[in-house]
Amino acid sequence: MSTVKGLRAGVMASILAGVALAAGIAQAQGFSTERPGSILIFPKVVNTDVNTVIQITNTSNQLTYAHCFYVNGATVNGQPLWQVTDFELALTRQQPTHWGASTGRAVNPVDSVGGLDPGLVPPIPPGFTGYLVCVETSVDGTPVSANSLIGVATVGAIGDGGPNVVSKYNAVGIPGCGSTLGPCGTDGTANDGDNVLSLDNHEYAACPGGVYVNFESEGGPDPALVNAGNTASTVSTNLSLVPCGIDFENLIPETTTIAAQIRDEFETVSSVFPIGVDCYFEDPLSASPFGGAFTLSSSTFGTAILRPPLGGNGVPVGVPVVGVANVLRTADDGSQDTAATNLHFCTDETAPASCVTVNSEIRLPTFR
Amino acid sequence: MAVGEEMKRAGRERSNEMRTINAQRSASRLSPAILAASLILALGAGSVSAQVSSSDTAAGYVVLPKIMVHTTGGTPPVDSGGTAIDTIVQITNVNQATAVTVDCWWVNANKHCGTDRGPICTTNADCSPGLQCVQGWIPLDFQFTLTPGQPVGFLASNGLSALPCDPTFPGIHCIGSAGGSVRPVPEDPFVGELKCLEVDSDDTPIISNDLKVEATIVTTTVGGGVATTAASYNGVGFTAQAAGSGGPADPICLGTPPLGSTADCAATYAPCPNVLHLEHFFDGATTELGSIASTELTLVPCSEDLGSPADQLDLTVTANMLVYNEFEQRFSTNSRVQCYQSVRLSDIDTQPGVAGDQFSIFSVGVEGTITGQTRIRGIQGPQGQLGYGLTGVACENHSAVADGTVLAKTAFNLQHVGFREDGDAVFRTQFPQNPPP
Repeated sequence: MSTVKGLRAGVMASILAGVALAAGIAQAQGFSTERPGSILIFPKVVNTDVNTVIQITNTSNQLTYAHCFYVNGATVNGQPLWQVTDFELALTRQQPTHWGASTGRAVNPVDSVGGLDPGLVPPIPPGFTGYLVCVETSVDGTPVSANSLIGVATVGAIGDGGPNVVSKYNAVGIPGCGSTLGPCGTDGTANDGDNVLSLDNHEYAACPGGVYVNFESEGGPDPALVNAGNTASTVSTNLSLVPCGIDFENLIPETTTIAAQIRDEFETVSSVFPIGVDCYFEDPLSASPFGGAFTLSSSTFGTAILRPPLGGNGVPVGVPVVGVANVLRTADDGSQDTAATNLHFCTDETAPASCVTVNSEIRLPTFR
Repeated sequence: MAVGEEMKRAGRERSNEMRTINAQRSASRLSPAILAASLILALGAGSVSAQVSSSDTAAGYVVLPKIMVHTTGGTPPVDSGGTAIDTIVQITNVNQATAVTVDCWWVNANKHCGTDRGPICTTNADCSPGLQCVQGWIPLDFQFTLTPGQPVGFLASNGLSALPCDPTFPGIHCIGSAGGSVRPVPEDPFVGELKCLEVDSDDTPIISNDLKVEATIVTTTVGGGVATTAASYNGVGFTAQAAGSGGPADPICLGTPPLGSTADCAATYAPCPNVLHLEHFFDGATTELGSIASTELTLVPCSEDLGSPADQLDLTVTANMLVYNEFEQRFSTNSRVQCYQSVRLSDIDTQPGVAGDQFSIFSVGVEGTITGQTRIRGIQGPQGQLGYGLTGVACENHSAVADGTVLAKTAFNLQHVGFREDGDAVFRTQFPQNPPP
């Protein structure tokens, strides 16, 4: 394991913002929050006033391995830290494992944490706000397309005078294509085993063109709490977004720009552009990048599509994002709770949704 | 009679019992093989197996497996100091070019003393002497139209008497015309499901996947003082794949109908998953969040008969559960799912309530690790006619270590592997089966 701090010079090579429209791909499995994958992305991992518990399971009947990367996306003076810490896991067949992000997990068969320790998992520092990526590998660290991994994350805290909030979401799974019979359909190929994981519907599934966010009007009252007499309730949605493309080798924070197309219950349409995602995005819908567009004047509920804008040739400019929404509800007595939802993937490539699939890549450091 | 013949006979009998809306069935029936072949032709080789139900993309048929309501207006009402429960449902037509018509069904899984008209109960102890607390299963349908791209939201307890952009509920930006209404749940308190199907103006299922649905179960202490909790999950969507061989009154099929089936399908949708994966804390575990965790699992059958509740009550799916702890040690247990099952994990293999929980294979004391995974699979019954797929959602309670008070809840979708080789079927009512009073 190595801990890497700071930015290094380099160039994020060949993020291929191309249209993947080959026959058969439309029917292929893409990114998923409920099927096993070969790459897992946990878009929200924090160690602030709340903690995060990571659970990962090997769903196969074979021993498997994973190379994981914590990315601290917290900003200091407006600049993302982009601090990467990596570690490795070994999971026996069907083995579930877990750890608290703030404590990590030691390799100690006699400690109080029962179970086979999957490997030494480092703790993340206080203030950490970012995400976790795990890539399934063979014993020597070569990426494999075995599609064995599923994961969930629980974010929250109970007691100690802090907030009593807990939310849970499924990790985003990226399937490896494996072959023409695999989840990518007839365009699927075997994993080439190099350190460039191509998200192109050949080696791994390509990035979905956008994500949907269903939301309650930001800062408005919650109808369920109002109905119970808690009239001063408020709702606030926090979005965590990760660019679909990462360069761990050169440590170049991936930057993309997305647009939000927002629609309320009365067909009022608005849009917000640009929303910059520099390495990582974590903000409530009331934050300045959204310009108040998620505070609806005449409607309680709304929906939005987040996707990169299209260039003149109909090809997205930049990479899309994956993420999770975490909704905080506060009653008038001060009691509160959060509820996380996985964002739906937008796969409609036709206008006006225009969620055009984008090819991208995850570039791993070379340790072998 | 050979064993195989006996199984087929039983299957036919069961199908005949369940098929209550087949008067308009098309005379032409395709064999399952032809149906499968046409499906493959329609979708392209290799693509059929790639499609399975999912909660992260829009779909044509969507199931919310867990809806809960008990409000201050219920019978009995939730009084001050009690916990009020309601469910926020958000439905969006992601098709920004075309309006969609949606048929929905509340599936009332309340238990009642004696008959469906008896008082709502949880156990026999809630009923008068001599009466049993009987599982109910009563669908209530409604239909509405969403304008292109329109999102709507409503409380399950209230419904929507008119949709935004309905001519009676206009907005200055409304271009399209919404219609219909969302009926409130038929009882308060209520536990059950919501199922929604995209149809055309003739109530025929259409091959389109435009519905994004999610639910948030909110609880709060009436009058304040203890806790507010919220748990969200996405609806389980089944993407429409191909028109079926049957007419609009025939069932919708989730996957390829099993061999030997005589069911015609109004349309074919993605199949149910073969195995559901639940990643959970073992009950009673102290988490790194400072809470004591327990998990409530809600399972519903994929096959339904929304037109004949009595037949639905006859359908019981045995859920086989393989439980793995972090030592890779495996236990197993089975549970019978009749219409709707929502149960704490520790109560699956022990008596209801906290008594005996420490002996459950879902207990942290038995397993010896904080977390585990449970693989859940519906066992194919002997009928062979309809599938025995399952779908569901999990809810997690996080309690204070000091006194066990539930301070936060969270919900999450089950993950899954594979798809059911033997498909499922959903027999439905054609609107309006239950006209508003």
